Amino acid sequence: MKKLFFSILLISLMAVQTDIKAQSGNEAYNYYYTIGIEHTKIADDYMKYASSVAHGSARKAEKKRVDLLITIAQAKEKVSRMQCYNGDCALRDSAVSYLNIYFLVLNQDYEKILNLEEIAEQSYDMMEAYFLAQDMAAAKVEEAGKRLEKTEDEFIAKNNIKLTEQKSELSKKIEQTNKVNEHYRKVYLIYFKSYKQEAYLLDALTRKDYSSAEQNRNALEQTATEGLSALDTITPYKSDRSLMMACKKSLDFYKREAAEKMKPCIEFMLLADNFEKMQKTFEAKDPMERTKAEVDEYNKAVKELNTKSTSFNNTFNYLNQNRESTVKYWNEVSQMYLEKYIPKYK
Amino acid sequence: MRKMRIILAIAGTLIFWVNITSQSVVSDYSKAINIIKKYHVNPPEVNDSLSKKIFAKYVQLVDPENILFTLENIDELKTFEYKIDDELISQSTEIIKLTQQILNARIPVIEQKTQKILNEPFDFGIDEEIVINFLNNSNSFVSSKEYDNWLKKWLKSQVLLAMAMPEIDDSVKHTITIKYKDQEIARKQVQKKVLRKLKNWQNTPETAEKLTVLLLKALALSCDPHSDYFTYKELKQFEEALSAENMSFGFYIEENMQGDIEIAGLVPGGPAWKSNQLNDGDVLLSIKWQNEQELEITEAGQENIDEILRRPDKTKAILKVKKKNGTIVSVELLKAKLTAEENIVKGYVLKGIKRIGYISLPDFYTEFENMAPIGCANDVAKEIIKLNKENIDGIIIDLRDNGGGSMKEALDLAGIFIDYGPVAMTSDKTGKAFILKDLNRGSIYTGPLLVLINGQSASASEVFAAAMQDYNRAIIVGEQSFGKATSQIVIPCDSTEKGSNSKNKSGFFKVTVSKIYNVKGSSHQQSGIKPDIETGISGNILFYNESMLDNSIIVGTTSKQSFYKPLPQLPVEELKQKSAERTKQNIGTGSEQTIKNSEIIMPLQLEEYEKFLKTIYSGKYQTTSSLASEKPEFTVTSNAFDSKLINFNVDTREIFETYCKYIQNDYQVQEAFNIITDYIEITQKP
Repeated sequence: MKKLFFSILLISLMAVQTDIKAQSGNEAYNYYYTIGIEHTKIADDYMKYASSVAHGSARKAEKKRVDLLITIAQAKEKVSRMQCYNGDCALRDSAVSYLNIYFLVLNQDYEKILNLEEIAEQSYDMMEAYFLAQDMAAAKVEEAGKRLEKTEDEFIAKNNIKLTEQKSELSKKIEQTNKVNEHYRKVYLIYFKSYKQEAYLLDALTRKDYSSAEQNRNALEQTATEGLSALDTITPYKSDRSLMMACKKSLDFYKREAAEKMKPCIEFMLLADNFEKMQKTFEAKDPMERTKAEVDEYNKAVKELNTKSTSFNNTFNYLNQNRESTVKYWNEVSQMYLEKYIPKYK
Repeated sequence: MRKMRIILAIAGTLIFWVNITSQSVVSDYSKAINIIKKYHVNPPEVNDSLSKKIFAKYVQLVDPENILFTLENIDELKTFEYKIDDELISQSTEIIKLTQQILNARIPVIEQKTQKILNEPFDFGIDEEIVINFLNNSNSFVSSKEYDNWLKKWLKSQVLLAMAMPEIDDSVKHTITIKYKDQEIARKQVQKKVLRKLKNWQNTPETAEKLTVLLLKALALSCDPHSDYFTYKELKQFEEALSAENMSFGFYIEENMQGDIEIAGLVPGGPAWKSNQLNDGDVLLSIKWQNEQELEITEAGQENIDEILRRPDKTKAILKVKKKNGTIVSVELLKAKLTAEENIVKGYVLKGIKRIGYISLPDFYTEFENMAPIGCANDVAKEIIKLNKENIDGIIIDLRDNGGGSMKEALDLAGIFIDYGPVAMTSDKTGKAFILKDLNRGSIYTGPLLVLINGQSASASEVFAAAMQDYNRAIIVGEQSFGKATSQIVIPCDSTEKGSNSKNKSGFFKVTVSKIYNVKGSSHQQSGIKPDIETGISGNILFYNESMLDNSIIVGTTSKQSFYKPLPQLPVEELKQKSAERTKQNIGTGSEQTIKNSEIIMPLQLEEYEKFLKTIYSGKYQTTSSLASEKPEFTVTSNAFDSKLINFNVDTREIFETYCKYIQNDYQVQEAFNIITDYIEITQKP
């Protein structure tokens, strides 16, 4: 799971718009090119990172993420030291601002750009707060990216720079990665919400916290149902529905678990609770003083508990096996999906 | 027949006299001041003005009935009125010494006067009255010249209280009857009690310590009415009171007409119950703890015996009791955790036009020992899961007289009925507000909900009720709640202590650390929660609330915003109108007689007193008993899940049936049933 988790963190990089080449003798163009070349270096590292997430090990992916961070930090440093062009600092400042935000987001320094306390207060748990923070951070990157694009366009127009409107190979790969990742992220979030909800449910049951268990059971049924509807609204990437089908399989399981299987399990636990009380009352009484009716009632209760405990155990085993296989299936399909569509890049 | 408790006696703060160990409580002086400075949400300046407040509280605590001191004594003590702050800081005990000197001189005199007065019969034909402050916060001392008259009047009032006992019969029709006791017996009973009380102030080293503890309590109460100082033993009692996990012998005691301590009730399933040798009405003669001397009960009052029985350090004892037939029996008992029916929440089904689940929650108990405690909210959840199987149309949660408890349980309880989100907000001394959330997504019950509250629903109860009201989740029915929106924590005076299990028996300070706001940012402090539909004043004959307490904190509002999603508005106006149509025929003017002041004028003339008693009780009768329909719209049953357990033996079935009858004859429950039925019908209209 850890390796896949990295991909969630992948915040789309602003694609390298055009294939730029140095043009001697044009000062404005060279100024523009110097900034652009930094972006290309970043794009290069970004693709290496994305590729390692899909095709390499978790360790390798982490190494590539660190490389990418270093490259961005260096680029930011370099661009910020550049002079303004003929007194026009807009392009430089806009690029620095973008690189700064991108660095912070990639490094998950969210508190420097977002009000995390407010986000936490709006969310029901840490995980939701984290996803919300990611969405908001991604929006900040996009916003900075758009500002940079606009400044670039103005700089190009103002200084009469001619660009070849041809995308580089790297640009194409980044665009594809962004699309693959966007689809993955959408499906993953749907999957993860129920996955997490089930974890809360199981934890509550272990603690015999019926209140939390029953709330999370209801919430699981709701999130799984909502997830199944949400899946219907998603357009598959390149008509490949494998990821969505794996997600559906998991959600079907969670829904069945919450709506049908878990309810009798919780009820059984309450029955066992009641039996315990009955047993205490029964055992507190001197055997000689027990009435026949009490003994009969007690024996009946023992029999009922035994019958129901067999069924309880069977249900739990069934759930455990199914849970294991659906999680395994989701992991395999996710890995295959990323391997298939994220371009290899070295 | 259910005896009414002597209401004038229970209203005040109960102070448990504890034989504290000889470690120096004085050393807690400066520690307590440091705790207040560090943690109190509104720390007062430690100066002469605080000293004056502490002084006033101190004399109130030592002499709540104004019978020990005369005005001259108070003037003498007043040399310390502006010096207590310095006394505390320097750990000086001069005021304690002076108090004890005064008491040493006063006690024999008062004893003598009391005996003399009580040896003569009172004439209850004389038209006179006495002002009684039931919150015990009066400083109306009289001069030595007026003292004899005052003492006589006061003793007369005590004899009258002991003589005339109001009783209600819950099982049939509810009319108040006043049972009279022979005056001579009543005088002897009062004499015994007063002398016992005076004996507490005899010249012993314990008395000095008691006074020291009271000075620390006065310091706490000068900050706000809910801060307090506890000795080690008192803290254990406080914890036990909130915990469902307490160790106990499982019986209640009360002082009977003769001033003896008798068993008033057994907790089903508890050790006394299981011993099969103890019954209601057995008179307690002695207690012998393991490896200790036998302790005679005769001269001790109920509070003392309660305290002795709760000793946290002892679990095994031999009790000697006198049975009703005159035989004397010794019973060996071992304390056990009380997990019997009476302590645990139970879900009933009210079957009428609609099937309504009914859950009464007497307090927000929790487990103190557990880091992730599972308390009353979990028990309520279990009952709702069972009720959900009964296809109920709605639920009534009864929080009347629920004085609060664990805040976490209140949040968890709210979580049962809302999906997720903020339930309340809190701020500490810095003023920074934090949001308190329901931590579980999802709910257990999403159908129609009604919450019953009354004037003694406080703190955690109010947090829950406010959240349900702000979310438009429940109809709030009953009367305006108490109005406590602060929360407290208990801190050991010795910072090296790790809680009440520590062997070092230093004191503890309960300190008010935060203010509480509802999700909208306002607070119910002093104002209470206003119910959507009022059903008249009930239960509490002597009405008092937060705003009447000395030094109550002002909470105000917070600008902090909480992100909560209220549900659509409830049809409150329509329900209110329907309820008013039903109740206007029932509610007369009786409920207006409830006393809304801490001072009451008690007539000492017999007929006038009888009238007075009937007047103050009429509020209660008008609403809870005589208003109750003899043919309620519903019958009460258990949920199917629990029926086997209930019918398992005669005893559990008997308890259950008694409780069902009690629910059925409760006017407010009857009206709540009607309101929720209307609510369901309105929302089900096409």
